[in-house]
Amino acid sequence: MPTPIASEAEMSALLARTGFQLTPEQIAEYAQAYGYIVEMSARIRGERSYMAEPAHVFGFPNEEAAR
Amino acid sequence: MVSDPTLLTIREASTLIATRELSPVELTQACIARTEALDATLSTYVAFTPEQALDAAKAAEAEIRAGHHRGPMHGIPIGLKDIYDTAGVATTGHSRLLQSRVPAEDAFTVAKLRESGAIITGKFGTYEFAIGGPSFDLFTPPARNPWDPSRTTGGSSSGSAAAVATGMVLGATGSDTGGSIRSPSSLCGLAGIKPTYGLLSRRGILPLSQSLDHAGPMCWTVEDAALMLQAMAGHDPLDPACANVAVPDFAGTLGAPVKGKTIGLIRHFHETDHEAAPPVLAAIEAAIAVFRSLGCVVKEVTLPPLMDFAAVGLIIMSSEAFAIHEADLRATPELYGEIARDRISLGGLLTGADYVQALRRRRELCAAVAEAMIGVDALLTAGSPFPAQPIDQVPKWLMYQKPSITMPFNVTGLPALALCAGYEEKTGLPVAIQLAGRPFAETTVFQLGHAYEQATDWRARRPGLLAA
Repeated sequence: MPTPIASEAEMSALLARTGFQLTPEQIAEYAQAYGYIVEMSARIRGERSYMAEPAHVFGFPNEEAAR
Repeated sequence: MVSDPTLLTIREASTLIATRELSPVELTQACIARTEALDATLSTYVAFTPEQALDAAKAAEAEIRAGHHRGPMHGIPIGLKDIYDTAGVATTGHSRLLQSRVPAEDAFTVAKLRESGAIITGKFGTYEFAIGGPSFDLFTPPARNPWDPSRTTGGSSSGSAAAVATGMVLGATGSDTGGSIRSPSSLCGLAGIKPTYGLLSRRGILPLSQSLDHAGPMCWTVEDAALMLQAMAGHDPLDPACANVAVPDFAGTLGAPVKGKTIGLIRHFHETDHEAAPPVLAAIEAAIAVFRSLGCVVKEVTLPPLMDFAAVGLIIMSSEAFAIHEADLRATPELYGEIARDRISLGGLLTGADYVQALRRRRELCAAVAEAMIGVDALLTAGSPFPAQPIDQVPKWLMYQKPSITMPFNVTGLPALALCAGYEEKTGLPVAIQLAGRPFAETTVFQLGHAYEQATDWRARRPGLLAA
């Protein structure tokens, strides 16, 4: 689970992965907004067993299934 | 003689057109005149196409005179949110990034609307790519609320809402990924439905988040929303999410008694999870009394916390939106408005595990809601927790700070209708309730919404600027 970003340097490192070229002001703003993501990503994680229903499943495309 | 045809409902105008008491040309001309009078104030259109509309109206008139009336939408002026592809007319997502993009084909639902005989008057402004707004750094300014132009319409189907409320058109298309049909419908006093996920094709509609995006109509009345939805619906084998289900007669059960229907009131959504403003709370209590007076049973139901739905919806939406825009955000970020750029970019900070966990939680939430709806015909909560805010005071990160009251029905895919439930006494701004139904049970939602609308007189009032 992600942890809150404390510094501009940490935020810059995270943003580097996205490939964006950002100003220090933008980085500061993303750092603030990132707190919301941390909160939300914590909220969706629950106690689930390895065998819990995986919600994302593979399905054949309609064209494939029609053959 | 109709004194002001722009203020007719689709049903009323259609009846007059069918009996040749109203000409589609006369109606379209009146809508064009209304647009020319108000659009400078409300900034609804990004592409207004009156000549094309008049040509289509003349063709409709000739066809009807020749004895071929196609149905309730024939000769009715409507507009399209500018994320719906239109052959030969730019579809931009209200973004500089796509300002010169001219599709070769109509979106599936646009083609259906044309087949129904609807007259398309142009393309309405939206929050950029249906997520970024209200923005003042796009190629045209944001739409303004006709009940008070210093206020926002809500988003993202912003121009659509302002135009319908003022009779520039009798109906408009919207799209809804987290509430973008229902929020502006609520704040502008309309009836707007986000149908069941998969009922309408999204092919040819600019995507924001493919597993949450819904198309739908925005109209003045519930009955009109049913009629317009009918014209848009139909199986599209080329949209993999489009369900191959029979399309019922959505308006067919309107007017039938609702006595005995059970409504599940999700009180915690609007009283604690996202505490609604006093006029909204009062409107919901009054609506409960109306439904009881109609013979409905209203009982409280408890769902998982609103913030759970918001978290799932925002993580999925942000991830999918970022995947769509990743390359352009890297290459030409300057072509995005600030709000869309920042909101979409935030998705780049999420991980693959975040996305998968959100999908798993989504499945759990769907199961919880399905269980709560056993023995319940529809759910009731607020359409928006508050009336329209000042247009320049909408926080960029509002959707993260306060859980959306509309997102639960994007996450679960259930049909959800926002409809006017009165007006704030002090400001005159509309307030709204929201009714949600079981999958593909739009007819029940419409039936209840129509019964409520008929039992109240909220449809008698229009924005004050129409009297000026």
